[in-house]
Amino acid sequence: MLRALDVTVAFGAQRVLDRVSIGVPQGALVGVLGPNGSGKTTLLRVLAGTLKPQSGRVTLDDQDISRLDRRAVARRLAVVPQDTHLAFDYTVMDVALMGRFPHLGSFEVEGPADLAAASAALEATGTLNLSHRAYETLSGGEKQRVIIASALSQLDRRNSPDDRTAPLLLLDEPTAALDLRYQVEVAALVGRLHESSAAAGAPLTVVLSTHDLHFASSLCDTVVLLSEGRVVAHGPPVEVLTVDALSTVYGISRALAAPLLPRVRA
Amino acid sequence: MAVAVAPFIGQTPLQFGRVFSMSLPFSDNIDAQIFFLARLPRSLAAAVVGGTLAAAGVVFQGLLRNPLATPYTLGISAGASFGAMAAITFGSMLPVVGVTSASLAGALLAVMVVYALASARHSGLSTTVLLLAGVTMNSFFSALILFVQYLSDFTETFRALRWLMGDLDVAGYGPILGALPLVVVALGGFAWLARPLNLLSLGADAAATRGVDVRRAQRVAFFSGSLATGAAVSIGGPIGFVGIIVPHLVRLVVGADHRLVLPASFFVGAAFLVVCDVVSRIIMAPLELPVGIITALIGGPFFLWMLIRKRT
Repeated sequence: MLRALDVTVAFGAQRVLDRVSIGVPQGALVGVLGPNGSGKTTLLRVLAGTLKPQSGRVTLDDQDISRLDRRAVARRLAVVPQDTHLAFDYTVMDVALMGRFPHLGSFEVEGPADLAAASAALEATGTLNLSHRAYETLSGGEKQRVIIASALSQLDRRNSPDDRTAPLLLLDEPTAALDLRYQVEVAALVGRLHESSAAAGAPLTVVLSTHDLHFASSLCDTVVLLSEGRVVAHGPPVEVLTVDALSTVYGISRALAAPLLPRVRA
Repeated sequence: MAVAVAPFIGQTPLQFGRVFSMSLPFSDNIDAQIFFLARLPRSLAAAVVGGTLAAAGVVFQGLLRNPLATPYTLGISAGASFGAMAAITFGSMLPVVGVTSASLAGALLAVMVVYALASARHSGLSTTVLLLAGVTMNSFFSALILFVQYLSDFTETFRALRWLMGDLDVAGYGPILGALPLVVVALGGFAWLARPLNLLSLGADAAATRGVDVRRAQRVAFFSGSLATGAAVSIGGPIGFVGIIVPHLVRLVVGADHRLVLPASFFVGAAFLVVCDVVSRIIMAPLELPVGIITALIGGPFFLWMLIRKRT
């Protein structure tokens, strides 16, 4: 269980997150919504442990995440950033194998188990056939799916109901920069990964930030609505995504908000 | 990689031929002397400097996440050059300070200032600030170098200019042996860095979420890269283009995995500079051109070629 307790993040005088507390239960698919600048990306960074809050703390299984061993956390929690720019010309398999870093010693070379994990991850995202292609030559959707695979290959996937091994996947606006076709593709992939892992008895907990109301309402079982660094609503999509909430938070009139409201999952 | 190492090994017999063809046709003893006292240290220096600069180039490109970075981007060679020039011009006034040690001191100064500037924010080593600090150091030291040149007389200016061109005409094995411990330590750092550098190319945050200790990796990269560059520059002066040409060429052949690129770059860089050194010695025989001129002559067309490649 991943929890943020009274987290405040300030860059200079500006509070990007203001006393935010949320809990992410095991196996949930949580969507974080809010306008730009509401703190979505910052919240994800804090939850992932890459950003230290000015006050408050983040706990993973009731242990302060900043005190845990980096590699151990990396094996439990993987992040897919909004976009990834590779500085050098790596292949798809190289990128997938990068996720195996927390499983290897400083000078250890990848073994068959690592190759298998990376291949399985690529297969799960439908990109195994691309493994020898240069990452930079892929389409937007393919690139995003490879990054998701790279994150998946990080995680210890053990078929145990033990909470301590339940892996987490954090995605920052996974469909933001994509064409409609790829938006649908990636959204479907995330949903599928979440469902199939639950069905296999090794639930994957997913937290994603998004602008896409439809994505959030159709896939997420819990939605967190952020506005100016504060949580204004937290619950199932049907409760959180109301005309009132949307018009207030996003600053649009009720008349405009009503048709935008997707049919939420019951 | 074997192909890269072979030219290096093959170089020695080649030089043997050169030794005999270029030496005056007197007794063999002189040839042997030329070989062991002049040629071999020079080729060893070329190999060490070439390999070190190439590997350092890879490390800085990985640290700054930019394929255009060189070992000199962060101001180290400017500091070393300033140190050397100050020693050449003012050395007579100060107690005995060798040009080599002065250049190392200058490099150290540049490194410390750049590091202090870049780590002033407590969010780790920001690559942007590193770059800016490095560029600032480069300009600052260049200005100081110009100032020192203004103050120096004709002979001192000549010596300084020659040093700045990059010359492997080392005085025996001394400078090489002196720099060797630094190089070995730096190479140890490089070996550890190979995999973290791969992950750093995804971005600092992305590397961190995969378990990389980003701050430590950046520090090791910065200091071992600077150590290597400082040592190389102290031997042969600021020889340019090795640190950027070789990594690029190597990546074209072996791919982007730093675990291959680093060792391959070391060997190819060594071979490359040994070859350049041979060229510099024979192209205008009996004159021996500073090797920095040869690398620069190759460097210009190389960048042109790279630009043209990118367009197509």
